[in-house]
Amino acid sequence: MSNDWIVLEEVGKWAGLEGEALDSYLRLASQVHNRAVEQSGEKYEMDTEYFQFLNQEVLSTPEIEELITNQGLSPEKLSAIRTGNVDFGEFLSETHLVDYTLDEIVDFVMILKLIDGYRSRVEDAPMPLDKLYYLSFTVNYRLSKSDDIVRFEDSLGIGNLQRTGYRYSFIKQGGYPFSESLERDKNRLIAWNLLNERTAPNLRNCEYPFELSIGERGEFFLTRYQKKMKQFDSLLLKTWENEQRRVLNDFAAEPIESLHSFLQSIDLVQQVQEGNVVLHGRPMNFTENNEQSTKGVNAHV
Amino acid sequence: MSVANFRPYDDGEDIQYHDENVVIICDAKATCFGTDPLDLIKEEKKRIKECPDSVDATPEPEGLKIARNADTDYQSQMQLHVNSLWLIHYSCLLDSDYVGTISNNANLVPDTGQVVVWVDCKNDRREVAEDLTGIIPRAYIEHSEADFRRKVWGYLSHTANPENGQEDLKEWSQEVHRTLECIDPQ
Repeated sequence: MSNDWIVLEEVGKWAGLEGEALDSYLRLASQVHNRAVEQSGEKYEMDTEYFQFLNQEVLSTPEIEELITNQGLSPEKLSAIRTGNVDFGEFLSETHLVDYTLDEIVDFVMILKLIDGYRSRVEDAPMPLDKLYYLSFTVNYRLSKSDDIVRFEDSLGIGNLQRTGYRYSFIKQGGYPFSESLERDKNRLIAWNLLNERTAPNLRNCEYPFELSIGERGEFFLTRYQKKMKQFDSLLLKTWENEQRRVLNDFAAEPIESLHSFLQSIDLVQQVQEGNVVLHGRPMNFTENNEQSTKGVNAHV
Repeated sequence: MSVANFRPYDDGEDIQYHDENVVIICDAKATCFGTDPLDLIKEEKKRIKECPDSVDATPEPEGLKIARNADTDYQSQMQLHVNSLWLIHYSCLLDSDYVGTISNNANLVPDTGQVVVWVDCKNDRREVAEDLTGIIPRAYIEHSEADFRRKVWGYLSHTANPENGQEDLKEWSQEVHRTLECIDPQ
């Protein structure tokens, strides 16, 4: 029954209670709840009948009814509570939903593919964190310099990057590209065990002493969706993937110094002052129906 | 609580008193919606109506230091895991080198523990909270003081209180015991 009491709070919020009224309800509901567990908890299989228990033994009690009457609740919600017919699915389904957009998910998948493609070229060695920043930046940079899919509206002058590529914007940090939003997404992937990160204090000439590898769930994901992941059907994703493959072919097995030299040779990187944006991320969103919507320049570093 | 003082509750044990360990992961200067996090925990403990004496909330204010060290020092990692209520300041999950360590460890907290992130920046609290979603999938991310306090009070009053959370406390302590054994099989 761990932390199920949080449902009581969600019921109060769903009903429209706020501030002191919500606190008062929660104090009373907690007492009623605890008493009900003692008195009639055994009648219910709490793992599967907990909502039924709440409706019958907690929410529809006269004490709760007395407290929530005259609190300005909508008649429908008041009635649902009084009669023990609260539909928990209505508000709980979204409470802890981790809801990512298609664009975020595409970024996650492409990071996984980047690290998977990297290890296949370097005998399964983990990827130094520096290389994650540099390789993903290079993918976006090269997309911005080619324009085979942007014939009509390259209003921003960033070639294919207008329509495809990572959404991450890169700033200059320590002389080289770094992206905070990529860092955040990398941490999300670690939190889900899709990636592993370990400290690597002896990495030579690297700014960040960490290495990345595919996590347990990442391995499962890559195996389960192997066919789909191998080659995308969408032209936009295929363009991105092809560029990523070329970048990996060029730099994956190279020492970090080669990437440093390459990055230093890029005018954008050279000219921008430390802390400023080197390259904005893809500004257009993918949509579920394969069209795209313009979002404007992505200034989220 | 030190790791040495930790022991799992037995299945048949009747817990009369529980020393609840709360780890506060935040910068030394950070406040919690304007209040010292230690004071906030004391205030919420006072609001427990049913048998407040059966639960004592002992905060670990050095949480950030311990969490940082947990990456390379297994004893710090163990010290982190004897806490069942984790309170994390949003700033520790943004712009920091140790967010991976914090999230990896927070994800090991048993279901009977609780992780709450407080977002009290001056502007755009809702947006910051949205940005943090998913870094620790099981965490509650609260950007209003009232909601944050309710999560602290609710946990102390329900799960950490032997009057109400006897079975949860046993489950938590036994699961943490297994985690500690994995970290240090000695």
